[in-house]
Amino acid sequence: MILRIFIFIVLSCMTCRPQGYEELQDQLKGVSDRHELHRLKAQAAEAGVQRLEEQRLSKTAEKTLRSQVQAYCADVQLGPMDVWYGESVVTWARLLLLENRWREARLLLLDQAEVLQNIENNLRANRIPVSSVSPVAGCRYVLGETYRIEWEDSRTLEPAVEALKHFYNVYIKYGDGPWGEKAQAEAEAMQALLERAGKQVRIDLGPHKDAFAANKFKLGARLLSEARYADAVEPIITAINYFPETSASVPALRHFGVCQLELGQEAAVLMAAEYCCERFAADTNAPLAVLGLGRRAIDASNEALGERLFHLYLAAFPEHAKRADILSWFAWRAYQAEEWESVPTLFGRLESELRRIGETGDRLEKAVYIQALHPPDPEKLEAFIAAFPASEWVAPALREKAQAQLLGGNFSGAFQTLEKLSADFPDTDTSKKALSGLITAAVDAGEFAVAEQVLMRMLQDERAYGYEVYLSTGEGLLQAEQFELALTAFDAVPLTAGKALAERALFGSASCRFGTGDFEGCFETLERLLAQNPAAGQFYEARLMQARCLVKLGRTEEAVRAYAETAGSDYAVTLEMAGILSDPEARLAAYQRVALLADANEKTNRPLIAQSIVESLPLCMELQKYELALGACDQFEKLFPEHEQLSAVEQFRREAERALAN
Amino acid sequence: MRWPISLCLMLCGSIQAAYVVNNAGRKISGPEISAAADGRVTLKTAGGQVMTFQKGQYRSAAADRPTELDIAEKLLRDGQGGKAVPYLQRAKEKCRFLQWDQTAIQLLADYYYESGQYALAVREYQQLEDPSIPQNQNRLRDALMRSGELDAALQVLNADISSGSRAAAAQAYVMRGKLKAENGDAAGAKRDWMKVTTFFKAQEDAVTEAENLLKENEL
Repeated sequence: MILRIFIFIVLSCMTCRPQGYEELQDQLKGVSDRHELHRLKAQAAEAGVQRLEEQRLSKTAEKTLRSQVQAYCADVQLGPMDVWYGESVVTWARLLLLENRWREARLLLLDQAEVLQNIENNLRANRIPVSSVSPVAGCRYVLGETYRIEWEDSRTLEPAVEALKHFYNVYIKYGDGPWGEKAQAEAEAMQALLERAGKQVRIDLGPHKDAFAANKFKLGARLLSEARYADAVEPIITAINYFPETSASVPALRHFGVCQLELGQEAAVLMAAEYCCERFAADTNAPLAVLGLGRRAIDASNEALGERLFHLYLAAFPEHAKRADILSWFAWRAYQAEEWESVPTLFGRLESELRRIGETGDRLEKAVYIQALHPPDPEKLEAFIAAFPASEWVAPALREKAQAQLLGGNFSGAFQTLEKLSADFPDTDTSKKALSGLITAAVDAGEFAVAEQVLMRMLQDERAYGYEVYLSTGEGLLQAEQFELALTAFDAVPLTAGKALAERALFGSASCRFGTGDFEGCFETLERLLAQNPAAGQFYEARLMQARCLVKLGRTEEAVRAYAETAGSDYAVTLEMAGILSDPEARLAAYQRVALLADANEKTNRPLIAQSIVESLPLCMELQKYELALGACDQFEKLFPEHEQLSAVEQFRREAERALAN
Repeated sequence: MRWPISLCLMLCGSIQAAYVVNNAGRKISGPEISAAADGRVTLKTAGGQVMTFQKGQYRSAAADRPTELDIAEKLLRDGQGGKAVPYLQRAKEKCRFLQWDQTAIQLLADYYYESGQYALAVREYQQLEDPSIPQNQNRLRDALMRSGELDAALQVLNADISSGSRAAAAQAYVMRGKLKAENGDAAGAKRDWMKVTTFFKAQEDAVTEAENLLKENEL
C-alpha cells in the first residue's frame, strides 16, 4: 500500500511538471516534511536551471539563481538515492553545461551513471514506467549534449557519433517521456550532420524495437492528454503500424480519431472509425471507441459527423449493449424535430432492439405508443392498449383511437371507444375533453359533418359532458366559423348554468347569430346578456357588437350611442363610429380625435392615425377648413413619409393652398 | 435426360500409378482410378481389388497427368489459348477430383482472365480448391468487378477486410476504393485508400497503389 502511494506520488509529480520556480519556492516555505522538502528542492532546482536555459536574466539575478540551484542540488544529494537524487544530478550537469563546463558535466554524469542506472532498476522492479521518470533519460540526453558541444568545438566526427548514440538511445528507450521528444529532434539533427559529412548511419533498434514502438502508444496518449493533437498523430500511426492488431490497436485508433476530430479532419475521423468497425469488429473496445468518437463529435457541435459515426456503430455492431441508447437518441431527436415521416421507422427500430434485449419498461411503452400515434392508427393503438394495459398512456391512447376512428368515418367505433374511455377513466380530464377534442379535430380536418354527428351525440346526454365541454366546443366551432353548429353547442348551456358559464354561452350565441346575419337575434341575445348582468366582463365587446348590429339594422342614432359607450380610448372604435356619422362636422371631429389624441409611438395606433387623417381631408375641404387641412397634411407627411396615400395627401395640400391663396 | 450415376463415372486408364491417400495418410496405388460427381473415388489396385472411398474418407486422390494438359500448355505457350480451351475442359472433366482438374482449372482461369473473359474467369477461379493463393484472390476480385458482379465482389472484399490477412485486407481496401469511385462515392473511395496509406504501411505495394490512386483522384 505504502509502495503504491509512493509510486503514485512519484508519477504524479514527475508527469505533472513543469511547475514554476516561484511556485515551488512558495511551496518550500510552508513544508517541513523531510521527504516533501527533498522532492520540492529537486524540482525547484530543475525549474531554476530551466529558467537559466530559457531566459535572459540580469547578472546579479543569474548569479543568485545559480547559487540557489547549486544549494538545492547539494541538499538533495545529501538525501536518499531516489529519483529526485537522480534528477538533481542531471540538473547539476545542466548547470555546468550552461557555464560551458561540458567536460566536468560529462565527468559528473559518467561518475554517477551507475547510481542512476540502479535507480532506474529499482523503479523497474517496482513496476514504475521508467520511460517517463527515469533519471537515466536526462543523464544520457545531457551526455549527448556534452558530445555535441565537443563536436562544435573540435569539428571531429567521433564526438558527433557519440552524441548521436546517446540521443538515439534516449529517443528509443524513453520515447514517451519529456526527454525522448527532445532527443528525437537532436538525434535526427546529428544523423543529418553525419550523413552530410559522408558517414552512413544505420540505426538498429535491436531488442529495444518493441519497447520503442510500444512507447509510441504511450507518447501518443500523453500528447493527446496535453491537447497536442497534431504532435500526437505521428507516434500513434507509428505504433499502430508496428503493432497493427493488438489489444492496444483500438484505443490507439480512438486516440487517432480524437486528434483528427480536434484538428477538423472529418474524413480521417470517419476513416479511423470505419477501420475500427471493419477490421476490429470482434474487439470489445471497438464499439465503445466508435461511440466515444460519435459522442465527442456531438459535444463539439458536429452533429452531422456524430450521426454518421452512430450509423456506423449501428451497422457494425448488431448486438452491442448500447444500441438501444443510440436508437433512442435518433428516435427522440426526430420526434423533437417533428420529423413525422421518419418517426415511426425510428421508433420501430428502437422497439425491435428493446424487444431483442428483453426490455419491457417505460422505453418500450413509449416506443410502441409513438408508433401507434404517428400517424394515429386505431389498430396499433388497440394493440398498444392490449400490450400495456396499466400504462399511463392508455387513456390518451383511447382518445386518440376514438379520434382516428371518427376521422376515418367509423362513428360507432369512435363512440364505443369513448364510452370505454369514460368507463375506464371516469375521473380523468381526458375522457371529459375527449368529445370536444374530437369535434375540434373534426373541424380542423374540415370534417364538419363528423363534428355535427359528435355534437348531436353529446347533446343526447347533456349531463355526461358538462357545460364547459359545450362551451369549449362552441368556441372551437365559432373560431372555425361554423356558426350554426356552434350555436347548437352554445344553446345547450342554459341561463341557469351559472353566471360565468351563461355569460359565455350568451356571448357565443350572439356571435354565432352575428355570423349568420341574424342581427336582430344577435342584438336581442346581447340585450339578455346585459340585462342579466350589466357589469358583465364582456360589456364592451357586447355593446360594440350591438352597435354593429344597429348599423346593419339602419338604427344609426342608437348605433352611435352604443359606439360612444364603448369607444373610450379605443381609437379603432372611434374610427369605426366616425364612418357612420352623417353630420360632416361631427364626423370630422371624430377623425380629428383619433388623429390628434392617439399616441403615434404605439405601433397599433399608426394605421388608425393615417386613416383618420386621410378620411378627414375631404371633410376639411368640404367644410372649407383649409388651415386645418394643411395642418393634417403636415402631420401626415411627418409621420408617414413613405405611406402609399402620400400622393393623395399632397394633392389635398395643393388644393388647400390654392383655396387659401384665392 | 438423366444418366445413371454409373455412367457418370469417368475412367482413367493408368500407365503410371494413380493413387489415393486415405485419412490415415496411407498411399494406396493402382492402375485405374475414377471419380463420381459426388466426390466418390474408386481405385482398382494392381491386384484387381476395387476400393471405393466416399468423399471425406480420403485426403487426396490423383490420376496420371492427362495428355490434354500437355497439349493445352503447348498451345497456351504458342499464344493459341482459344484452341487450348477444349483440351483443358476435357482434362478438367476427366480428372475431376483427381488432382489434374485443378491444374486445368487454373490454366483456364488464367487464360480467361488474361484474355478479358472475366465472367468465365470468375467461374473457374471459384472452382479452385485452394482459395489462399494471393494472385488468384486478386484476379478473382478483379474479375468479379470487371464482369459487373459488384455485389459478389463487394462481399468478397468485405470478407477480406474483416478477416483476411493484412496483405489481403490492404489489397481489398484498394479494390473496394476503386469500386466506390466507379460508383460515384469519391469520399468513400478516398477513405478506403487512406486506410491503406495510414494503417497498412507494411504492405508497401498496396500503399504505393493507394497513394497513386489518391493522387489521381485528387480534386
